[in-house]
Amino acid sequence: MRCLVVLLAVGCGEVHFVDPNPPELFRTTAHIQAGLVDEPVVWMTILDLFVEDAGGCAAAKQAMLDAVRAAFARAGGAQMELPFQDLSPDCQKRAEVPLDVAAVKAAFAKADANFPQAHVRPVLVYLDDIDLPLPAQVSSALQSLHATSVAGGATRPILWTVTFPSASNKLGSDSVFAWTFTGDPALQQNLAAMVESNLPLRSTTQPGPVPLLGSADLETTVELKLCDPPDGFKLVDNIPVGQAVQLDRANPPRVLLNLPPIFFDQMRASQVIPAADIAVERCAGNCDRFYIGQPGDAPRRWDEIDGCVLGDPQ
Amino acid sequence: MRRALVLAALLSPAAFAQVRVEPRLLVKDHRWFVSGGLTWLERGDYYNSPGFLAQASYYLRENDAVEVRAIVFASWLGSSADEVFQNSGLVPDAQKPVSLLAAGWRHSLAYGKVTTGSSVLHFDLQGGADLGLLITDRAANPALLGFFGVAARLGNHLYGQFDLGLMGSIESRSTTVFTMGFLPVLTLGAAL
Repeated sequence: MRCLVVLLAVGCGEVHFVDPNPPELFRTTAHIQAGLVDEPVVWMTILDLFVEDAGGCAAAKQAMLDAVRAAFARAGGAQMELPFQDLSPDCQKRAEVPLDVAAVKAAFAKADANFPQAHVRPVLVYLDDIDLPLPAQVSSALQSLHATSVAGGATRPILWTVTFPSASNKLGSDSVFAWTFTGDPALQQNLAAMVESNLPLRSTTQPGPVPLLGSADLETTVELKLCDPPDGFKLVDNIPVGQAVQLDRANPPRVLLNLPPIFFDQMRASQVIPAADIAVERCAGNCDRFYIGQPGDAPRRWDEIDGCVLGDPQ
Repeated sequence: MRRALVLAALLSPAAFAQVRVEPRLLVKDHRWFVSGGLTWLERGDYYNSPGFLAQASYYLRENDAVEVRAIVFASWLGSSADEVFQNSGLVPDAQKPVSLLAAGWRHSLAYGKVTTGSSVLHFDLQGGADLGLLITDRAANPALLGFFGVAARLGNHLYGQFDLGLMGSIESRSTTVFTMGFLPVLTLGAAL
């Protein structure tokens, strides 16, 4: 009806004014992903074995130490075994010797010093073959060590226990393996599987500074705008967000990921590597000409608009 | 009594007047009508679009003809749009008409005669519709033209024709739109 009314006056069909040479705009996304680095594998075995035949004590301890060493060997990479602790030297009385917390912490510090660039997170493997609750002093010592800060406060140790459930209850272990018998190949396999799926631990690294534009885009871009960078990112080269800047091909713009390091201690399959997409609006020509979003919108010069104008590419 | 009535009829004023029946002179059946002329496309698109056209109609019978038209427009930007362009560089998103090619059907609705001084003008009231292409500076767009008009005999073989057309076309502007506009056409031609 409106068309007919208009037709009676001047004809119909909406006419809008457009720029015959509009800005040539493109939206690209810089995908930035944190790097990952393997941390050194540092571990300590804590033995608390009871062997009825005292003559078999040394062999039993050696068998368990060998089993743990063989399991950790599966991790590969940089490794350091800390001196083991033996709470029952003659295998006749449980917790006969108190756990030397100070010595263990000193060993942690030594490992830290040995890998100055890394984030050391020692794994404590506690083996106990008595089906009774843990003596209080052992339990509290283990919990104390478990809560110890290492790597300058960035991490704390991991506690794996190879015990009966009566002993591991309330210990707060990160992983529990059911004790079977000394030299049980299945026990070693379980430990090895745990090592393979969790070690070496990995932590994120700063990925930047990362170029905002790829080489092909760099060739054609005249001006660009940074569109709402996600939180956690710091920009270098002082690119103002949402403002058009002339591209200096000699110093292409970059961004720097500014994330605190993340230490993974979960199964590898569940690890989500921090990543972010930073949208960039590129102008390849006519950057000072008019951008008209929708028919009938007021024309605005692209390089004077605060913010990006193109939507996310589908 | 009967004789008296016949006598009265013979003595009435009409009987005394000279009754002259002008024969139908604008005869079209199985004839070609070829003409050329001027037009103006007005569709509110900020363009001034005068045009020159040529058209030919062949009458299959006295009241129905098939026809073809070709129009060439000499379009230019109107003064208001030109001022916008001079100030900002912006132009209308309407496409600039270049030509129109159309073919269709023409039908005579009524035949008439009118006395003009000492002569009698024979004319036809006509209507019709054409389908064609409106060719612009950017595309060839489908167009539909409906018209009413008059064709008048100006001489033995000369005739003039005026159609007031209403043209619609589909055009891609900022969005695809259906445009409508007036297309008055004035031609002078020959009946062959």
